[in-house]
Amino acid sequence: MIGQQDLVRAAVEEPLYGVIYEDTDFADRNVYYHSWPGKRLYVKVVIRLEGNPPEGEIISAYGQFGCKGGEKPIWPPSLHS
Amino acid sequence: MAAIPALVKTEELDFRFIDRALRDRVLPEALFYDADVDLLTALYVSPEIETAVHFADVGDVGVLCTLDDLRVVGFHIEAFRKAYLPTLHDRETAMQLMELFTCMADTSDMVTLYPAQKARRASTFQALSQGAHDAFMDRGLHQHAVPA
Repeated sequence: MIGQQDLVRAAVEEPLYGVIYEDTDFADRNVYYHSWPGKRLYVKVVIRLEGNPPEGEIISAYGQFGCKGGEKPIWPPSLHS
Repeated sequence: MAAIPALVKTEELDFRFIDRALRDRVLPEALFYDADVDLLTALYVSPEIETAVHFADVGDVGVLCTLDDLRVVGFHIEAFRKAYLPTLHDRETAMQLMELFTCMADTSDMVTLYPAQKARRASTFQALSQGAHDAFMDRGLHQHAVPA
């Protein structure tokens, strides 16, 4: 993701369909997707939340062809059951 | 809410390169483990080549594919120590990997250590790649023949 800071920022600020997911294995990590302009690809950004109130830290970002199965939407709240 | 559509299907991927590498017991060219994220990446091509991750379904094992021809060139294993190793069928390999990766403080350690460990722990690394391959295929979404 070297040189793709703008894309990572876009994913966090405007996630695809406005949806934020919870990581399948770590409850303290949120997942954001965004279309990768000009490529048949999404950028996936993983943020770890720490503290109270929680603060986020980007811990991983890479290209992915689709959503990973099992990731549950947690935002917007109407999707969180 | 619109679901995020898969832009590439498993059936579109070209497994011939990785199958040949596993059959010939070739070791990954590069192995990265990020202990903070608990992410393991095994690459059979230069890390300079641009790749993306593809997951077949649920599960923590994805394959790494080249963007231009969708050739599978490696594995991407999330929650490697937390979730993947405990479920590895080959318990001896799992124990060896747990021991090896426990002593890795961060990514740079693995990057530095892999070239030196490569030959000495060849069978462990081969088993790691084979296990990742089998775990991905166990999703049952893709069947293919190993090339001659």
